[in-house]
Amino acid sequence: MRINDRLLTLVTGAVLAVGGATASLFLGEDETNAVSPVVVASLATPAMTDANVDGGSDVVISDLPTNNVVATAPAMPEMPANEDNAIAGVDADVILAAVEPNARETGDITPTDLINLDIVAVAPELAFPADITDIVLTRTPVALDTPVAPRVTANLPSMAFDIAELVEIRTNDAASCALDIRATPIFGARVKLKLIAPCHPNVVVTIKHAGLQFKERLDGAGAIELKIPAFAEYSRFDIELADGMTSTVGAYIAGLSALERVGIAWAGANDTFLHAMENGAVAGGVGHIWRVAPNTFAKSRMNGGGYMMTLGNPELENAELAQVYTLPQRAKKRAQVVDFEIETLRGEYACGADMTVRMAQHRINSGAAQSELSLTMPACGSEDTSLVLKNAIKDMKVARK
Amino acid sequence: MRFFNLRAVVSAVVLGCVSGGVSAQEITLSAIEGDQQVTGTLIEFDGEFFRVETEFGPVTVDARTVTCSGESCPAPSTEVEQLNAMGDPSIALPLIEAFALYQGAEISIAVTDAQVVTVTTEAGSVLAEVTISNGSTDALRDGSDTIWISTAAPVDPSLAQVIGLDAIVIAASDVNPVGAITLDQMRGVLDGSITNWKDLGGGDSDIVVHTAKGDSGFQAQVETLGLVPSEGIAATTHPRLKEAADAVANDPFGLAILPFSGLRTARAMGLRGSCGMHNDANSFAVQSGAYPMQYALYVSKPNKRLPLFAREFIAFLETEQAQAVIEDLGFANLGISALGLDRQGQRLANSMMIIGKEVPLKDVREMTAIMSGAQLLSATFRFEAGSTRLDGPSRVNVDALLDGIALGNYADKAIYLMGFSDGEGRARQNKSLSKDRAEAVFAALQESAPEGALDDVTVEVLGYGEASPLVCEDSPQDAAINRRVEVWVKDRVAPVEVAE
Repeated sequence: MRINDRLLTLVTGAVLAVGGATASLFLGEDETNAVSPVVVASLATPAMTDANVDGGSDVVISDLPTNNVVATAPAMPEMPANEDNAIAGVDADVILAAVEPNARETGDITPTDLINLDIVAVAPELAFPADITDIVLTRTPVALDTPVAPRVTANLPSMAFDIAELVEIRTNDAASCALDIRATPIFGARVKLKLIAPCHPNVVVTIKHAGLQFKERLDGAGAIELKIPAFAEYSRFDIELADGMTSTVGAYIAGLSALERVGIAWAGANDTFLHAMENGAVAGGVGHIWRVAPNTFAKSRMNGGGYMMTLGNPELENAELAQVYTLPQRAKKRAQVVDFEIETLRGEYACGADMTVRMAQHRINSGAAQSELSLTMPACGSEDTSLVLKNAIKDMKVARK
Repeated sequence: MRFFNLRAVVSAVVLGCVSGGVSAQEITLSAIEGDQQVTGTLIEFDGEFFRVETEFGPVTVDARTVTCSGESCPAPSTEVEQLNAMGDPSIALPLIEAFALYQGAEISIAVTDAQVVTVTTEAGSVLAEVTISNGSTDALRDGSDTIWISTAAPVDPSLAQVIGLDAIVIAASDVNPVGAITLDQMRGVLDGSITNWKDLGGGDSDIVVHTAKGDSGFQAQVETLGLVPSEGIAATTHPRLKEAADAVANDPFGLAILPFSGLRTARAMGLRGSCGMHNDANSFAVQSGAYPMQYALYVSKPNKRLPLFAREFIAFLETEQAQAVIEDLGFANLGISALGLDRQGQRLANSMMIIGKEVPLKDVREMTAIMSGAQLLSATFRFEAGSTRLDGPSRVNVDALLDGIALGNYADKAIYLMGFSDGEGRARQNKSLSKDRAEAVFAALQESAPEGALDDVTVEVLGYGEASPLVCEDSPQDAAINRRVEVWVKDRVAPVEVAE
């Protein structure tokens, strides 16, 4: 097969954002799924793209394994996402792109996409022969056996400083220190977020989406994989490592028009609950969905009703946690109604304290919305210590068809 | 819009400000966009508008469009607008949230005795603080910036505006086989003369009546219709309508009187009239006023000029975004929906029942030929009792219909304004009376429409008298439902001759 054929194969759709600021979106139809094509894309600014194309050999397109390259599976949730192949790149029928951290120790220099690309170009420890960090979707045929490192700076006369001196990049043998984030849309308007930060083992990561945020800890290899419910068609996930590195990834989410979603997030102990009372359920009864009786995505799909996802690691110091309830719309005729309560037990040990609960919602009629709830715990010495808010979140209603 | 008004004013004034020295009391208002200026003595600044005495007389300028320079310029206001929103918080809060979203602002809610919603712009400055609480209508008269969102009849109808529609419905469980009930039967259940479902056409089981204590506004509506259980009648009483709705939804032998908006998963039973006609309680019926026992959700304002945030919020309540929220809350919205004749079998049945009494078959045939393939719009026009003035919801419908026309929803379509009467009086008179009403609606449309707005559509005005009743006329209110002007929309094609 000629390389051209592979390159021309478009991708079913995925979004990746690089360096926080620029996000590019490639959408299309995959007509040749069977060949498992590799499409490589750069998310640099258009100007950079031109520079690369003009440079000819600056662009390397390869279906060789690429470490520095991010892959996301197709956005169509019906297609099984083959996430495990994402790193290798060989079998991924997906867009590949580089993700660079956007907040480095760069002194007074404002990080921009240009700088990110330059880091790649001139930092020799990052430029492996087959590691492509700056890739452009193109039809230019290139020789696979003589990959050339990108020479982006050649086209950028205005760069008056030496990035290598400004940027301190920790190296880990041959591995890249770049944050590698993939946001893969999966069934149920969720996203599989895969984060690999090899130079940041066991670091706490804060993930922000749609006004909610929660914290998790990376494993010993600096990796984590999470399933996160999304709140908007064009969803953005901001990633913040405790050691200061940040990045952003986006994903196009299909299927939001067939479900409603409500989430809360808060900081501190695991003492707060989102209660979803389905169809007049009583506390503790069937249809009372909460952290203790969350139902599951699979059961929700089989038997109807909603499910609760809990996000965040309660073991962490200064934990930030979230709970998200999802009600898929059913084709069944029966009407459904869900009432929400937010309950916090914080008053039991922190009487009189203030607390902020973030709320995010996705409603079929009105789309995404976010708000913030500030609560004051009952005064010390009062009899009722827990706080239940009954109408902070509007009911979900699914009308009879 | 206001900005352009300013331009018109400013260009007239601009010469005046150049001549003469600038005295200490004078201020200069410079347009933020463009280079126009107004100079004059400040008369008044109310936080939104400057009133300036100029050489050409007093001029009013929107403060948002200008910057002020001069010693007499008022200090920039840092005061946060305060607003009280009285009424059911479960209705007011989602509307405030939606308004904030619509404005690109963010909200945070502080929970104290009331809920205080702070609306913040993306830039971080606070736009307004809204206190949401249950409260009495007295606050509308105490001079505070208060609005009242409620289904109770407004204190002063001229200061209230309809933002949603609701109805009193009789509710049973989904699994209950009895489809419809008459009001007399329901009253029988409530006074104890009917106690078993078999008297209503169901199985042999006792009827369990569920009632609610709270929600006084709704209970007052129900009482005026005599739909409360008599003394000594066994009823399961719930603290709120919500619990009553859930109880009846899960009780196969339950029966309750609920608001349409508060049905939750309970099923609204059809309402059968004494003449055998049957009315389903669905949102199209409520929107078009075809269901008896309707009422409206109002927003009432005090008799004073409200701050900008409040005025914009009230204007927002008419928008599509707000109407989507109102629909989510269970109300029938004010938008226009369309329903084809194929889904109005009951209506044809009603006409069939009346043919031959006084209505000639020819009329029904002609009317049906027009309706066939056409869509009935939910915007239906009715008049205030004994007058040719359109009632409240109908006045909203005039604007909604004109908006639809302006958007091109009915471009190249034929619009039929079809008048109908009640069954009182002679059929011939009723027919001409109903056509007169349709003419009156057309006149109202023409009056409100901007120049040329009706040019793209063909409007035909018709009257069919009593040929298509919606309900049995068991009461004057029922007769009022039948006296109406409907709007049908159809592709503009050559009429098909109906075979004799």
